[in-house]
Amino acid sequence: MTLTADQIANTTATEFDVKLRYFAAAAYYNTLTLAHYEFGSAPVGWTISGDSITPAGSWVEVTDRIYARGSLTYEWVGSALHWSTELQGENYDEDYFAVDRAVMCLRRIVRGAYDSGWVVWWIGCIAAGEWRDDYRLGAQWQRSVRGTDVTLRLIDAPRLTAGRINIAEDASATASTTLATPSVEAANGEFVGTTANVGASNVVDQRLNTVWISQSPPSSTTASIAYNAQVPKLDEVFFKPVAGFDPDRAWWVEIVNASTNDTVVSIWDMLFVTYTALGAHVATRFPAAGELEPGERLVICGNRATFEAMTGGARGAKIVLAADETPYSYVVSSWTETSPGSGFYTANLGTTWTRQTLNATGGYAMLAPRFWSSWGDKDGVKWGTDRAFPSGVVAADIWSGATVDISTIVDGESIRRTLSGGGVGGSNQDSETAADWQIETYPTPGDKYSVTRFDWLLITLPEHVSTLGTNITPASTTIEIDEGTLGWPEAGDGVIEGDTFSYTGRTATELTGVTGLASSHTAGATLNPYVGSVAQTGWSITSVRLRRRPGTAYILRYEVWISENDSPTTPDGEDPSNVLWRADYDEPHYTGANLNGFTGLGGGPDLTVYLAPDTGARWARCILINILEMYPETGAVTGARAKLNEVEINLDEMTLPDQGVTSLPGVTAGLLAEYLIDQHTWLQLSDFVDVALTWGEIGTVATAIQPLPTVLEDLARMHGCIVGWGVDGQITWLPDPWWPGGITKHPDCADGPIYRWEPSTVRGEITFQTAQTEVSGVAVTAMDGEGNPLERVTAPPGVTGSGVREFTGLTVANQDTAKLLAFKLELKEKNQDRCTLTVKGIGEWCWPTQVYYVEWPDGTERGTWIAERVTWSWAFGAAKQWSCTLDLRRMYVG
Amino acid sequence: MADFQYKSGSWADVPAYAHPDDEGSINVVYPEPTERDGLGAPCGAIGLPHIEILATQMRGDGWAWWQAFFADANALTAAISLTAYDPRTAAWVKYAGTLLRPLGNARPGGSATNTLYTDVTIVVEQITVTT
Repeated sequence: MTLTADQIANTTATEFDVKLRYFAAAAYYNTLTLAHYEFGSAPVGWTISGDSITPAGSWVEVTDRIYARGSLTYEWVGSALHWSTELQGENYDEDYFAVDRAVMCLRRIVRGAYDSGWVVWWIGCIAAGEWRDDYRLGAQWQRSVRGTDVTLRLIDAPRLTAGRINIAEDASATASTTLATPSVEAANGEFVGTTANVGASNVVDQRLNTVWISQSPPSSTTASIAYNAQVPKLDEVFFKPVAGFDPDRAWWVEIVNASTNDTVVSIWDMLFVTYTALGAHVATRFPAAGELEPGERLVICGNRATFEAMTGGARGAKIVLAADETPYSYVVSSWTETSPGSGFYTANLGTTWTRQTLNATGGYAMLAPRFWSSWGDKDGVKWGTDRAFPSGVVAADIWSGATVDISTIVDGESIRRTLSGGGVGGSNQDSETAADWQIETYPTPGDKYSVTRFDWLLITLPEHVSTLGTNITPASTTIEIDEGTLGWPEAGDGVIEGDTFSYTGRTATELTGVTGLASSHTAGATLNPYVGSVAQTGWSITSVRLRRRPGTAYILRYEVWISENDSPTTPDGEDPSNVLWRADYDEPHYTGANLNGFTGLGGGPDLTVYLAPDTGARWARCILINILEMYPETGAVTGARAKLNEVEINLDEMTLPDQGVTSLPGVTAGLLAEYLIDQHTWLQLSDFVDVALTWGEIGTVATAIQPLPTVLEDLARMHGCIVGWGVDGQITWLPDPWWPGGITKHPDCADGPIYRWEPSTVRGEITFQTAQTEVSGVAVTAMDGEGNPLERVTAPPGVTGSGVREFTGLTVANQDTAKLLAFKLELKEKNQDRCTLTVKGIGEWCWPTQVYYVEWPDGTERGTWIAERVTWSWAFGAAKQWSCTLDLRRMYVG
Repeated sequence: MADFQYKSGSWADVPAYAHPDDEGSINVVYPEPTERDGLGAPCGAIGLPHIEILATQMRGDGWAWWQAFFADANALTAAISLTAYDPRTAAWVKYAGTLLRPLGNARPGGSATNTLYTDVTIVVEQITVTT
């Protein structure tokens, strides 16, 4: 951490102004998406101009109900950082200030030319307080507001009994298997595709547990476009694919018969002409007897496989021709051409059609009769840099306007007929001007999504392979697995070459307590978990959750089916009532209807839904996700396409029972804390700030039900970490500066003290207390997790006498941990120096656990100090008052 | 043109009857330091400068002139542009700001004009220099 120039200036400022504004969510704290609000930034989606603030969502300003005085304390207690603030006010309203409601404070700092703007200072939960009705002053109230720990206190989690956590035990383990991440994800962040199987071969970046399946948030599009002219029209042109797709193959053009009566139009012998990246005009001649019914759409694409991977295919399309590697076409709805044989794509002007790129700088696409200038209507569009139509075309007949401006088009967008301006349903959208066209953010080739159909995604997990590492005999009690034991239950049954056995435990690489082997087996043999009399080739998963980024449309109904089959039948994509495929999947499946209060994915930003949080692990090889209904839908033809942005499948790799002893080889304290938050709270993983996730590995833990903050504090204490219930609602995992060795790892002091306190930067009185210490050392008499007494250890080693403070009854992992604990306690107990100082400026960057260097004028008192408490207090009356007070404790190192 | 002006389209003199009396003042008031720092120097001046117009006496028509800035009887603030004397630069400076409701003690007379207001305090907050 380094102070910014503004922070340093604020530290020494003699004149400044601080303003506070309060907002109530009219919602409960535990329903908020905290990650949406970044600490120190303006709330996402809010409109802020000067002092004018227009909140988004349900937030309502309540500043005029809150008295302009208060305080906020950020305190280091034990191994946790807590914060709390006291608010008082009038005009009490249950909708805003009831217990567990959310409240947010925005702060604006002005100092000379510096203006921080309105940024989030804290988001908190109203914890407790009182209100009373006063006939003179109305309903006066006072409330305590606290951070995440208040709401998490109501959540039970498996308690990690301290004595069972071993800091240095079982050092290695693999994380989890890698699921699929298709190639596009590397460049674009997402993979497009709705019905493709996603396999391990798609992995490119080793992201764990994540499958990306969609391109972008969808947009809802309106009904079919109508034109006056009852001729085939170009409707949408895609020529600028996202990175990861071959531009030669990824282009496509959509043609529609948009007639408003029953006219069937012939496209027989018509030419589709376009301008390629090579500067050549190329053309495709439609086959004999080719016709488009009203509303029918024809999609011509550069390469079918690429097109399908990119868009998921044109919905309901019928593939007309699949003769070779040359382009493929889709006809949506139906296609009257029944003999798409030779000659379908034969007409060429200049060069071959195959693997040509539509020119993204500028080009055109055009429909024209084969005999260019003599008869019939034509249609065309130009974009970007103006290109001349091929000779022989009477441009005036088909195009008299300017080219479509694509200067703002980005990768992944198309151009399409505008749905406004020209009007829909009969208004002229073929004015032969560039105004007919617009840039489409979310290209949707072919038919529009309909609720009478549904999309599905089948995720195929890689096979769970386990190979015997060393030869075993019927007398063997351990079985070594080359790939590691991830995916194997903590205890259970297995099968190897038809020989079933039982085991009672596992390490990272071995099954232990093996019994029941009937014969010998040699290394290299395949073995599987044996569950339900079936050799399981899949994985034990605990939850599937779906994420969808905010957009105009969201998923209203969905289903998740789990199958142990590696190639289950998939739905036909057209008829959700068709139940034949369901036999291949386990019951029960999980649907949106099972989720109370769930109003659809994407209703909020990055909404996370647990589908199977409480049902334990399931064996799965394939996961099928059906999207049954999208919102908004406006009838038979709707605009919203079924897409997900992310599917996360969590393996049963760290399941903690409510009670009992669990081995977690290779798992660190940070990972375990993250797991607890992920599995047991309403917080999102992004609300967990993983400062030191690699700290302190865990061996075996014993579990019992406790409130979650207690559990996390236990975990933090035993690993030399501090769990921070941040003022922004997030949970932070910090190294403890008191922990031996922690000082060098503390992010705030990696480069030494971050601020050097001079007398001129301190305001008012400095109180300095030092008590004569009577402690010459500490002694720790602890026991291990089994209750076995450990040897008494002292710090400094060998210290004796009446000044030794005894600590007994502690439970630690082993003798080494006891020594570390003694050393840590000595640092604290021998230290009696404290001082309090008030920061001269605003102190907006002060936090507990920061290390400070304080220097007195005479040089007699100096050294490093740790902030244990930071208090900001304010009273905005006629004369504003503000102070930031630090309670420091001298730090002795070594 | 006098020094004490307000802006209503263009800058114009504040009418004499709305001036503070001789014992009053038209000042830019800066926040005062609330503390001393570790070396004993003043610090901790929280807040922004504001204009303070003090009048020990003001006639009813002067009072009414200031009230006329407000949209209605319930409005607590009004936008205003006027000049004030900045003691730091010893100059009259044009400011735009937010006028708060004047405070004062009323001694009702026979008519509104004859009502005498004493100890009048007029505050303009959130001031910025304007032209």
